[in-house]
Formats: sequence, structure tokens, C-alpha cells
Amino acid sequence: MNELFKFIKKIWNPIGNLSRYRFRRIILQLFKYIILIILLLVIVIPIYWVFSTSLKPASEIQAWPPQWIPQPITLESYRYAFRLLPIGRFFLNSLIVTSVVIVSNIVTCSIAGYTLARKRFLGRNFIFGLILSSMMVPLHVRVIPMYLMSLKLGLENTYPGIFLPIASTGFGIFMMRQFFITLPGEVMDAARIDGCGEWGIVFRIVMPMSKGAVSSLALFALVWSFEDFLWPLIITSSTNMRPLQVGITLFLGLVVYEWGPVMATTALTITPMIIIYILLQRRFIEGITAGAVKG
Amino acid sequence: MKNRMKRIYSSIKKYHFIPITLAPALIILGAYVYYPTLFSLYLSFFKTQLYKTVEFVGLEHYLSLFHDQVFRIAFKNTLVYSVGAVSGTIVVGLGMALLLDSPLKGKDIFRSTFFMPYVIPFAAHALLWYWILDPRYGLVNHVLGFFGINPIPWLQSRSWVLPAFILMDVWKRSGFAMVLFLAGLQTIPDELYDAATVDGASEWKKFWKVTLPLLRPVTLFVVIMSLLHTLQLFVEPFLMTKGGPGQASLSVVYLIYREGFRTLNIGRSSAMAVILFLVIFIITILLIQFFDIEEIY
Repeated sequence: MNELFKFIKKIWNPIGNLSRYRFRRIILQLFKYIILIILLLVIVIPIYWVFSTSLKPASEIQAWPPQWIPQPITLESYRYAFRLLPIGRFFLNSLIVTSVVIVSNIVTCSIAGYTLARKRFLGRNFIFGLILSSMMVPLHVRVIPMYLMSLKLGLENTYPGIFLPIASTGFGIFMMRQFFITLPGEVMDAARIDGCGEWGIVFRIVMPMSKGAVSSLALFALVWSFEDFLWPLIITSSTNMRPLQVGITLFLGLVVYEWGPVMATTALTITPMIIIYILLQRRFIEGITAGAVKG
Repeated sequence: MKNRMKRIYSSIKKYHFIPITLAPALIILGAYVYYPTLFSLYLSFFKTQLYKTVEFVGLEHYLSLFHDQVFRIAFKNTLVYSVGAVSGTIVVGLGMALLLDSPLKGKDIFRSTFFMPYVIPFAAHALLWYWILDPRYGLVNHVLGFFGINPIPWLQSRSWVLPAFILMDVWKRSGFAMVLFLAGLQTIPDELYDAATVDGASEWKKFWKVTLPLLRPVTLFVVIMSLLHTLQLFVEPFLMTKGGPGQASLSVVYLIYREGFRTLNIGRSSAMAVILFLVIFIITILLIQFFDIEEIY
């Protein structure tokens, strides 16, 4: 046995010329890469699988063993999905709701954030506390009264009914306030001396100076309006008013174990988000870490 | 006339800037956060019929929920899911961050990809996994087959349904934790590690004595954000299992939804919502105490 070890040592000796330390480092690095690549595959394959399933002909989808690459590639499932449900309408609904949520969050959170950061007035801390506490109340606690109120106001199956609850958010105000506090006050004072009004300061000086924060907020608003599921589900009852993320789940009631159209619409829902993410990933990550590290 | 308008305008500009800037936000928050929260509390003390309060019953809903078998099961499921998903997310996220916190070829690709599932909307995420976890044709069982593992009836078995949900959540949200941990790791000054090296600490010891304690604020943030999310488990049981098989994947928010919008018993449903809210609130406070940090806002 000892001879064997000596033999192995001899064989390994050329590598041993590298110092033992470096050898260990290379092994460690290799090990790291193996784990990272396994993780990468675990993340990527399920997403790939959605697209691959959606492009397969119906007969291939439930083939066993599963086909990794769709052959032939066909848009059959997409056509079927569009025939079954008004997917285009779902897209339009989501687009309208999302745009309004983004614009209204940017405007309302910025002006409120500016006042809370830069103005002194009676009750400022109270109002700031009130806004912070709004972040603590999860949707499920409020959802029934919200629904009753929306019914009374005739907001069921309307766009305002869907977007109003997230048209302005405690988190957005908090984020903008935290950012505005860090801006140098001299710039605003200079603008004031030059005769710029408060609104001018907000929209022409402060917001252009905070492009990063504003675009992070826009991304958050985009994610909120796309992720929101329970509320749009409750407030829309007519198929034509469903936003995309609720609309696509209607397949589960229409088809039984027909994964083609379900995966086709899932792919359609995921794609815009992934494209936006790939284009703007830096902003996404900055926005999220700003919330945690700065508080 | 024109002059007067101008005067009114300038006085608005001067004295009403503060209320006008705060009004839109406060009106929306008032209508959709403060008022409904208080109204929920109010409703939870009433017997209701078809969205109308009928009779004041005090704490009756709360007392009956305390003994209610279904509510207890839903509560237990939610807690099991939360603990599993949060600890899984923390461990995997921290692991990813530690692996990526060194000069590495292709680091950006790994980081971007690990974060990607976080941007997938929950409904699409649930549908994606619904298909992948299919017991007969699903990809997961196919891959497990390579390792000689028999097909697992993920969503069809009482014992596998919660682990399946936990797995899904760890897959989706680990990247989020990773990004935060990476930011946290960057705030740790190198001098601390150098000092530890001089003192002869092993890598392992450095991790436990330097890295982990200094990551406490970030960890707290990740834990609270994750708990807020996981304790409100809804989309998965709603879309994938309807709380089944049996009551194995019944969650509190799903029960609130069913009681409030299907059985139309909004008083009882509100009482459940208030209980869950209190639990979330108390856990958050305890966590902040436990982690003992001042710089958390």
C-alpha cells in the first residue's frame, strides 16, 4: 500500500512542481466552478424548458423520455393559445396598468419624498412614520375592505380599480426621501435665488439629479404591477379586463393537461421581463441593494 | 381678473406646496392601506352576511379560529413552508454570494443568471413548475431518473407538496438573497481579514467570526423580506393544488381568500387576516430584537 502511495506521489510530481499551495488553489477553483455551473444549469434549464415545450408539436410534448430540443419547431401551441383566450387583450391591459403605475409612482413618490426630505413643517415626523408603517401592512389584511370599497365606487373591472392600490407606495416614498436627503442643499438654494419655484426645483433640478433613484423606482413599479396577483384576480371578473399574469392562469380551467398553450403563454409572460432585466440588470441590482444597505 | 388668478396661483405656490405634494400619496395610502386595515379589524368583530355586518360578536371569530382544525392546519403549513423556504433561500443565497465574492472568470454571467428567476412573475413561476413537477412527464422526475431515483409525486402527495413549494421558492428567490449578501460582503473591510490572518485564524474561523457577524444587518433584511413574502403563500396553492391533496398545502392566505370570496364569510376571514398580520408583526419585532441592530430603519 505504501508503495502505491509513493508511486502516485511520483506521478503527481510534475504537478507538484507547482507549489503545493498553488495546486490546492487550482483544485479549489475547479471545485468552485463545478458548483457554480451546476447552479447555473439548475436555474437555466427550467426557463429553457418553458420555451422548448412551447415550441414543440402537441404530440411531442408528452413524449417519454422528453425531447431536449423541439423537433420540428412549431408555433402550433401559440396559435392554439391565442384562439382560446384574448392574449393580446391581456397584454394591452398589463401595458396600460403598468405604465400608469410607473408614471404615478415616479410623480407622487418624488414630490412627497422631496417634501419629507427637504421641508420642515409641523407633523413631518408623524407623516413620515405613517408612510413607513404602511409598508408593514401586507395586502391580505386589507384585501376584503379594499374589495368592498372598490365595489361601491364602481371600480370592479376597470383599470383604475386594478392600479390605484399601487399607484403610490410607502416604499417608493421612503426610497425617494432617502435619496433626496443625500443631495447637496446648495444646488436647490442656488436655484431658489435664481427665481426657481419649488415645483421647478423638484422637476427640473432634483429629479434630473436623481436619475438612478428614479429609474430604480420605475423598475420596482414595473415588478410590482407584474407580480401583483391576488388583487387583479379579485377585482377583475370579466376575462377581457384580466392583466396578463392573471389571464394566463385561466388556461388551467380551460384545458386539462395540455401543456403546449400553457407554456406558450408562460413564455410570453416571462419574455418581456427577462428582456427588460437583461437590458437593465445593473439598475435592478442597484435598486435592490440600495434598499438594504442604505436602510 | 388675470391679476387675481396670478395672486391665487402664487399664494398656492407659496403656502400649499407641502400639502399638495403629500396629498396624492396620502390619499392613496389612506384609501388602500390605513382605512382598509382598520376596517378589517372592525369587520373581524362582526358576524357578516353577504358583505354586510349583521351582529357584533366580539372575539367570537378569534376564539373559534383558535380551536378550528382547518385553520390550525393552514397555519402549521404556512409556518413549515416559511421556515423551510427562508432558511433554504438564506443558505443557497449566501453560498452563491461566497462563491462569487472573489476574482472569477465569468462572474457577471453567474451573478446575472442566478438573479434572473426573481424577475419572473409569480403566476408564470407557478405554471412553469406545475409542468416541470408533473409526476409522469415532468422534467424533474426525468432528471432524477438519471440518478436512479424513482418518480416523486410532488404535488399529488401529502408529504411532498410543501417541500415542492419550498424548492420552488428557493429557486426563485436565492438570487435576490445573493445580491444582498454580495453587497454586504463588499462592506466588510479587508483589514479585518488581514488581522485575522495575522492572528492565525483558519478560513473556517474567519467565516464564522468575521464574515457572518458582519453580515448580520443584511441577513436580517433578507430574513424579514423573505418572511413577509413566504407567510403570505397564496399563488402556489391557489393555482397548483387548491390546498390539496387533502389539506396538505392549505395556507392561511388561501384560506382567507376562500372564506372571504368563496364562502363569503368576511367577518371570519378578516379575523384570520388580523391574526396573520399580528404574527408577522410580532415575528418582525422579535427578529429585530434578536439581531440587535440600530442601523435598521
